[in-house]
Formats: sequence, C-alpha cells, structure tokens
Amino acid sequence: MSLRAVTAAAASASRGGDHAGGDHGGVMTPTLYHQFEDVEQQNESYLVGMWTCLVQEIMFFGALFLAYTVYRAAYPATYLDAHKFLSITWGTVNTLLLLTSSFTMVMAVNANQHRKTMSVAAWLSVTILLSLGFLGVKTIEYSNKFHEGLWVGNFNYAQANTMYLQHHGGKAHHEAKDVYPYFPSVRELATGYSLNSVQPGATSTPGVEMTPAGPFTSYQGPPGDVEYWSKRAKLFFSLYFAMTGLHAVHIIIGILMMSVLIGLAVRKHPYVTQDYMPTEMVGLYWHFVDIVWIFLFPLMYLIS
Amino acid sequence: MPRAHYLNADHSIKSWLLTTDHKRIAILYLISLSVMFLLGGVAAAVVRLQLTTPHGVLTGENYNKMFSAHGIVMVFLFLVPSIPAAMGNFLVPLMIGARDLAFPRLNLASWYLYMIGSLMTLGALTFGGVETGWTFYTPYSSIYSNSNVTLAILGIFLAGFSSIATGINFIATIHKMRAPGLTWFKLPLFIWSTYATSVIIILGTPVVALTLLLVVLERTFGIGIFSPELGGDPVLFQHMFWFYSHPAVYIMILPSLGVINEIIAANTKKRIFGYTFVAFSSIAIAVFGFIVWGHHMFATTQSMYASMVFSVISFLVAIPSAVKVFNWTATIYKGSVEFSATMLYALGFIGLFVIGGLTGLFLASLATDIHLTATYFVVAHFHYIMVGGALTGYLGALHFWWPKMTGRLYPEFWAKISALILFVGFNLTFFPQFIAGYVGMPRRYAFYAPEYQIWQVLSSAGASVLAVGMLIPAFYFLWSLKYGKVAGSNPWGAVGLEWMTSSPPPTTNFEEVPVVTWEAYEYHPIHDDDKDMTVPSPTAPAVTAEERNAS
Repeated sequence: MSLRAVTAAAASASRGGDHAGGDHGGVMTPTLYHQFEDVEQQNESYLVGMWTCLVQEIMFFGALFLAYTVYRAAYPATYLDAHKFLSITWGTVNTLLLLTSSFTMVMAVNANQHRKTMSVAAWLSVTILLSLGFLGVKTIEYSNKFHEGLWVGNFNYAQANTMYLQHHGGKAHHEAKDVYPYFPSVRELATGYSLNSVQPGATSTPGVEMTPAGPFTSYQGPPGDVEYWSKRAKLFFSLYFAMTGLHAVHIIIGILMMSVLIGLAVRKHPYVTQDYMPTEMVGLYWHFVDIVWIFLFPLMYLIS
Repeated sequence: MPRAHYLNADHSIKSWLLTTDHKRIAILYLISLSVMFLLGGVAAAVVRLQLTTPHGVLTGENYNKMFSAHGIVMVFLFLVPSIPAAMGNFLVPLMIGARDLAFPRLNLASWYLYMIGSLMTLGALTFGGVETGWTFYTPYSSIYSNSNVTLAILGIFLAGFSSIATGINFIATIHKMRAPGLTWFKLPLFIWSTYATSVIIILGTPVVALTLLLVVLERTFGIGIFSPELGGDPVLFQHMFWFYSHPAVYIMILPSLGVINEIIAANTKKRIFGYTFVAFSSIAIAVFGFIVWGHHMFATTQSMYASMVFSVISFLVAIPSAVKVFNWTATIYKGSVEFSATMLYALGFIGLFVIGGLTGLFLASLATDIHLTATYFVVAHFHYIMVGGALTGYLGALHFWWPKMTGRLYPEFWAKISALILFVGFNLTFFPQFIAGYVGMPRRYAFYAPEYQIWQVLSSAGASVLAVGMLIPAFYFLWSLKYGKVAGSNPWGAVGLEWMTSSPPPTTNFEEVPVVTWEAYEYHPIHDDDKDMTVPSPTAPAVTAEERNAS
C-alpha cells in the first residue's frame, strides 16, 4: 500500500471511527520539516533511513552470529553438551512473550494510522509489559546461570554438572544417556558408555584438540580431559551471554522509545495525533529485535 | 558577498553548538578534524624523529605508544570521517539541490558522538597510551595489554556510530531528496562516490564496532570469544577486523576519487569521459572491497586455498581503480586544461594513487607478500593510498570548495607552491620506505640495524618537507578568511548545483528549488574569457542547457 493510500485509509477510517486523538477529524497533517518538499517525501525518507539503520543492526549482530557459527562448526559436541543448561521452558515462554509483543506493536501502529491515540498508548503499554516480562525471565535465567557456576566470571563447569545431575538424576536412563556422554565427570558415572561410536579407540589422548578429520565429525577431543571440556563450554557461555546480553540491551532501548511514545500519546502530541511515522519507526525496530530472538532461540536452546 | 548567508545568520556560540544546518555542522567537523590531524601529525613527527637513528630517542615501549597513537588518531579520528563528514556534509545537499540532509538532528548528534568518542580515545592515548597498534589485534589487546585499551576502544566505538549516522543520513538524502529532474545519471560523481562510501560505512562499521566491543567484554567480564585458552581463535578477530578495515580503506579513498572528478571536470571544462563507467567503478570498488580482506592475513593460519581466492579478488580491485585513472586521463586529453592549484592537487593525486595502487598488487600476490608483509613496503604502500590519495584529495577538496564555504579566495600562488612542496615532500618521505621494506626492514621496530639508516634519514627529511607543505595552507586559509578576495558564486566557472547559489550559501541553500534539465558536467565549448556567461545567476538557477549553450 502506498503512503498516499495509507493516509487515505486512515482518513476514511477516522470518519466513521474513534476520534479519541483527532481534534478535527479528516486526514493527518504531520509536521513538515523545512528540508522536505511534502509529507510523502518526508515519510519515504524516514523509511529509507530506518531500513538502512536496520541493515546496520543486522551487520552488528551478524558479526556475533559469525563467531557463533565458526565455533559451532569447530566444537559441535561442546555446544550440544553445554546447551543442556539452558531451559527450553523459559526460552519458549520468552519466545511467546516477544511474538505476542510484536502483535501488540502492530496493533499500536494500526491504531495510530486510524487516529485512535488512546489505543496507541494502551497497545504500547501492553507491549512494554510483555517485554518487561521477557527481561524478567532473562533475569531469572541469568541468576540461575550465576548460581550454577556458568557465568564467565565464576565459571565452574564441574559444579554446574553436579547440580544438573542432582536435578535430573531420577530421569529415565535414555534421557540421561543423551546428555551424560559428553561431559567427562558425568561420563565416569556412566562407565562403559563409549564417547562416540565413530572412533571408540582414539579417545584418551589429553592435549589433542581436534582430529584431522575436520570440524564436522562428532569426535571432539579428549573425553577424559575435564579442563578441555570446561574451557570449550566457557566459550559457549561467552557467546550465550554476549548474544543474549546485546539483545537484552536492544530490548531496553525499545522500551525507552515506547515509553517516550506513550508520553507523547497521552499528551496528545501531534507526533502521534497527526502523524503515525514515529510509531511505525519504533515498530520496525521492535520487529527487528523480535527477529533476532527468533534466531537466537533455536541456535542457543534447541541444539541437537 | 551576499548580505545574509549561513555564517552570519547568528553569531552566538549556542547557535553553532545547537545548529542543525548541514553547512555549519560541516564547519564544526572541519575544525575538529583539523585538530585531530595536527595531533596525529605530532605523533608522526615523534615517530620520524625516533627512526632517524638506529637507536632512537625513546624507549621501545614509548615508541610503540607513539606509532599506535599516530595510527589510531589518523585512521579512526581523521581519515575515516574526513571527507564524508566535513566535505560530504557541506556538499551533498548543495549538489543535489536539497535544503538540508534528511535528518539534521541526527547529523548534529553524529558530531557530538564523534567528539565524545575522540575525547575518550585521546584521553586513553594521552594518559597511559596503548601499545597495540591501530589494529588492536588480540591477544595483544586482550591479555597482554594495559587497561587503557578499554577506553581507547570505547571511544572508537562511539566514533564508529558517528560514521554510521552520517552514512544513514547520506543514503536517505541521496535516495529521496534529489531536486526535480536530477536523476541518478545526472548526479555529480562526487555524489556517486559518497553513496558508495555510505554503503561501506553501513555494512562494515557495525562489524568492527562489535568486534572491538568483544575485546572490551573480554577485558572487563572475561567473555573470551577470541581467547585461545578457551579454544577461541585470535585469527577470527583478524577476519572480523579486516572485514571492516579493508573496506575502511575505501571509505577513505572513495570520497577522494569523487573529489578528483569534480576538480578535473572544472579545470578541463569537459564532461568526465565515460561518466557511467566512473559512476559504476565506485560501486564496484565498494563491492569488491568487501571480499578481499583475507589478503591482510596471508601470513596467518588462513587456509592456502582461501588465500588464493582472496589474492585473485584483490587483483580485481585494480580494474575499477584503473577505469577511473584512464577516464581521468581521457578527460584531460584535449581539454582546456588550467593548471590551477586544485588541478595540481588532482594531478598529484593521480600519480600517487597509481603508485599506491600498483604496489598494492605486489602485496596481493601470495609469493611476494610473504617476503614483503609486515615490512616498510606495506607502510609505504598504504601511505601512498591514505596520504598520497585520501589526504591529497581532502586538501584538493578543501581548496576547490573553500570559496563556496567561506565566500573568499585563497592566494593561488601560495596554493600552487604548497601543492608542489607537498608532492615532493610526500615522495621523499615514503618512496625510501618501499626500498627499506624491500631490503627487509620490518615495520613497527623501535630500533633497527644501521644499514637501513640511509632510507630512514631520507624519510625523516621528506617528512619535514611534507610538514611545511601542510602548514602553508593552514596559514593562507586562515589569512583568507579576513583578507582573501571575495569569490563570487562561481569562481572556477564550474557547473553543478552548488555553484549556482551564492558563496557562502544562504541557510536554506537555494532561494528556490532548482529544476535540473541538463546532464552532469555539461560544459559548453567556451574559453576562459566568457566564463562568466555560463554562470547562471544564483537567484534564478533553473537555466536550461539550451539557454546556456546559446549564450
């Protein structure tokens, strides 16, 4: 839909609809800044600028995803072993929270285009609540990691595994088997289980980091070397904290921008009553933050 | 001089510090960039002093800090923002017939980000210093370095986002705010190269920002993504660093390549030969620039096959670069060439850029690079591109648009003298370094074997000549602000929208929005004596090509 069409739609909707924000009905008359010829040029410039900014953000996160990919290709078994500490339940809750918040954000933009200013404030408030819920869950997860000894500052993989075993010890044997073989201390408990079926003989040379067969084989180094596994797992959690932390910072920035918008809406500022581009821009940003999480969730929590 | 223009619109300090006028922000950048250049130059002078004798005057540690400061200030705080932030800010709206950039407040914010970042970095370099070189390679910067690295990197991080803000502004402006009738292929080539530069800034800068941020996280929290102890790969840092920092070379050189087009067209009174090819060669350089970074890493654990591919693609960069040089030569051929100061800068640029480009091929080929890498040959090569190319282009641009920015002319005689001194001084400084590197002197060494001394002495002598060539313009530019001849709106008889408004331009750039009906560089066949007749009046810029040709 072209911008003209959107404005026209907003105009026709506002004739029959809610006039909460509109002071005199009719089409929106956004503030036109002196450098632009008309509103259409102004809005298109905003869109180009915002999309360019999102491209920039993709490259920013992209560098981290590159590091993630390189090390996952090099140490697949470490990733598989270390990811067991991430709670799929919390991850799923957070995914649902963020997906819902994207929906409420769309509703806010829609309400703004239809000049329902109070609805804009309401939908944005719901979005903020959902994202605060996301941050709350992240706080729980981070503090769990800290207590288990998985934060990079107090990293203690043996302790984390012992705690993990205590919690999951009663589980059925086949579940345990999926998890145990990769960590040596646990493996000692399940003696007799071969680290991998490909190269059962070549397993006990501490110091050997990778086989010449290349990074994609399932064999991942000396199974008896607790230090080796602990350090590689710390690398995984370095990535986990860097990526989810950077994402959380973006969530916080989004919350701040939405709060400003709510303030403008409540005070019936023309940026919201006469214009929908500010809300639309924050919306674009918010969907980007959402999409980053859509990639982070399977890459971190759903490794198999 | 026009009665009201952007410089005298308001005289208060506040009106400058809170301005959203792109021209005033360009002046703010120009002043801060000049300070950065001076500081980087002082560090370079100390480096040259140290290398005059094999045993030097500084300790090894202080020498490391000094060349790191020189590199960091010159690359991140001067060259990367130089032409885009100062000249681009001033010229992009004027050249495309807009009243301002698309996002003036973002533009001002970018200057503040740049200033805060610069002060942080300069603080780190002054109070303690860093010994990592401008590349911040891990693990030098992570495990084996003092804590100043964190502050220096955070400053560069902010300066990087200042570049990104400028890039976003340029892209939105060039896409959406061109004057009626000004299609893409009627744009001045400076706009094409600024556009290509902005694309590189948008795609490259975030990657280095994140990479440097990871070094900070490693130093502060122990998040060891590049830590070999944890199985991390320091070479991954180099990959991510050069993914930006090789294209960053094109951030520095592309705007200069654009400037040279404008200068040559105005001084030969001809359309640039092969306009379309030159326009697309800028885009090609931007694209190729992103897939050659591995040639910085031939001597690392990078796979031999990757190196071969990187080597071949690096050779390909020579093609669009050569397209530009050949087209400039063809433009000058049978043009009515005027050997003005700006033309001397442009001709000097072409010579130095060709030497810098051709020596790059030695470094792009695997066998010779193994011998030459990390020697003075590399130092000489990239100074030919960054100083001989980017800085000469910057000075050329400053001379070419100085009358537009200030409304006054600089003394032509002294400008020619300084252009010549600069050319001689530059070659004397850096050509001996090719030889020193070829015979085996490694870069970054504080002390060296006596047989290299002759080349280092020549180089230091050249550096003093170079410094004179840079100080002379500083004096006559300042002098011209008060005593220079009034320039008039179009002193060079150039075409282009920026010459159709008064000098200095009014705050809104144009009295009315120009409607473009002519091609870029549409000089009609005239001679100097009727130069003025081709100049459209500043108040009625919408002169058609036929009207101008008829006059």
